Amino acid sequence: MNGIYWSLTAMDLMGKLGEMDRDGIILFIKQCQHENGGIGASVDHDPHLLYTLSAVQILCLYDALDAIDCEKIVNYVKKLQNDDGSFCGDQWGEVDTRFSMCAVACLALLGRLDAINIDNAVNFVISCMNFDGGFGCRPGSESHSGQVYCCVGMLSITGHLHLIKADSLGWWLCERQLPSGGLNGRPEKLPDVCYSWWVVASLRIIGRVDWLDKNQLRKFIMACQDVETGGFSDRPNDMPDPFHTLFGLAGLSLLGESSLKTINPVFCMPQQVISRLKIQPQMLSL
Amino acid sequence: MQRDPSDYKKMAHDPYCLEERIISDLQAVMKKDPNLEEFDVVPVTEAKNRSPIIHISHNLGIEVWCVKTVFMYCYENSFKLDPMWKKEYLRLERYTRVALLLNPNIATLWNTRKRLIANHLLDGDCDFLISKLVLSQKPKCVEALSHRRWLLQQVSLDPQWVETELSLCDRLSSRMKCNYHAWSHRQWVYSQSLKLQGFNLNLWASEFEISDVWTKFHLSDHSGWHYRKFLLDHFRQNLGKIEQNMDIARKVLGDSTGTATSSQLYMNLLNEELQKNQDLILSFNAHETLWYYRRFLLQAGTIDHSESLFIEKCCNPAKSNCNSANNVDAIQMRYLEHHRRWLSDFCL
Repeated sequence: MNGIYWSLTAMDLMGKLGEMDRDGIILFIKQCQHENGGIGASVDHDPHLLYTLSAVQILCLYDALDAIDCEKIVNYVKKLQNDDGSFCGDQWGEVDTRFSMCAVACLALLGRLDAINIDNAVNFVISCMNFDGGFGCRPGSESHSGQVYCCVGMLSITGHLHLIKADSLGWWLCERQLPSGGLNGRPEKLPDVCYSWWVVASLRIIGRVDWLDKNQLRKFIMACQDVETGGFSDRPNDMPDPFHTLFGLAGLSLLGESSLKTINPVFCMPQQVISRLKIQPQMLSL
Repeated sequence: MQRDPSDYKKMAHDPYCLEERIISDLQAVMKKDPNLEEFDVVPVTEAKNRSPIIHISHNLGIEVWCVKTVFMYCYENSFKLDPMWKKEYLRLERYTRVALLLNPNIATLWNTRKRLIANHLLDGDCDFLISKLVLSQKPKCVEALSHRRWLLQQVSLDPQWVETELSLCDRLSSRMKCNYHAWSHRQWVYSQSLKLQGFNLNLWASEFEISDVWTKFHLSDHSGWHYRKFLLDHFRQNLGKIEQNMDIARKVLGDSTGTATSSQLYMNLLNEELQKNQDLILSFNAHETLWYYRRFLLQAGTIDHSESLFIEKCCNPAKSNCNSANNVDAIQMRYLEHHRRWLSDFCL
């Protein structure tokens, strides 16, 4: 399911969504929805918030939310919220701030944010903030750019960005840029194209994207495109895959690439889709 | 070897088919040797006249030529069997076990095992072994770690469980640098033991000591340093409890004066850490992790006017007391710049 979302969003950014099998994909999603409303990674696989969000995103790209039972999805998401505001990914109880983002993004796309306790959800995410301004997967966990994106996105959707230490976080995110121009996810790790999404989107949401060296980053992303297949890999000369292809393109779109559609930094979907749904996530400016 | 997937269900009733024999061999080794340490795929690409399952001194291997067919066979059957029907759960257990050893990222198959355990059709011991073997091959496997956390909350715990989990974490963090999942698991284990047994200063001190040695040998590992911050924060959050056990606290922290309060012990700890951090930054060039740890210590309460003295030493390492100081290079200067900016923001 994630693979379909990555590929379709990449195609849509390039204006080529029409080349994919719309009916086949919508049928597949229907087959992946369970009785409890949740959606699985594939047919016969257990439901999980990660795939439920991807499925909802795909249906929004196709303007086809009516193809499945959305009220059931709302109930599924709602039942996964815990008393402390956190979300489990599925019935087995693992808690992670990624799932908080999945839950609110999913409900926002369905126009049903009212179904959950927003204040508790926000408090939990804030309890995962570290002294450096970053966020981890649970309270006290190490800051990680991927988790930062999820938490910043979650706070943007729910309109609580004022609770972020935007300057500290902004500098921490900028320090992810390496001399090659690429970005890493944590200190002393290698650069990876996917962080040109997680980091740059977070900076964009908190209004501090100009603190990066955008030209250098653009060069790094371009160097990750495979000359034979056209796909993007994590680093120059590695094997390309749909995940890095989407985040390479999404990063370029954020940097203002004119041959691509504009992307929404919170939902990682084309802005025109988010505008059509009349969703306006909060953004900070300097 | 190619098979049509539609044959798999049919074959499941033939105990003599190749896949069933290999699964039985694997199952037999796991039963015979509950102390297995590692699992891996062995690069033998052609079938020979012997079993492709290898068992040497607590290590389990499978030859690569049969991996695809055995995996597909187990995977297909795992989704087709209903555990509640004709006691098929025994076969379901067999197939999910082998499928997960060969491809542990399929959460649904771990969930199938959770259902068997929750319905008392399977006890959890085998899953501790399977997840341990999976992690020996893939030390970042988040599904296996998550399955262990679930197990640890379901089954009755062995008295040694904290020790077992922490030593597993040691192995995972050593095998893969900056292993976020391994260190998150360690934090979870530590927190879970506190939840069950209350704050334990001896456990804290033992973890702080292990982390001291670990960070010294893995300077670049930000996750390792983060765990140290986590422990220091934990100490601060439990000052009240520590104050009530000051005899133990003074002993484990080697306070010779015997008069310090818990808050003073905490400040001493931070200051010792700050001094060690300075020595490391001046001795080992260009480790961003050390600078981040320094920020943590400064904001935790050690900041004072001597920070400018430290910066001066960094710019001019010849003046420092540390003889092994390397040449200041561009990367170190970059970190120093970041540090200056952080300081000026922090002091505002």
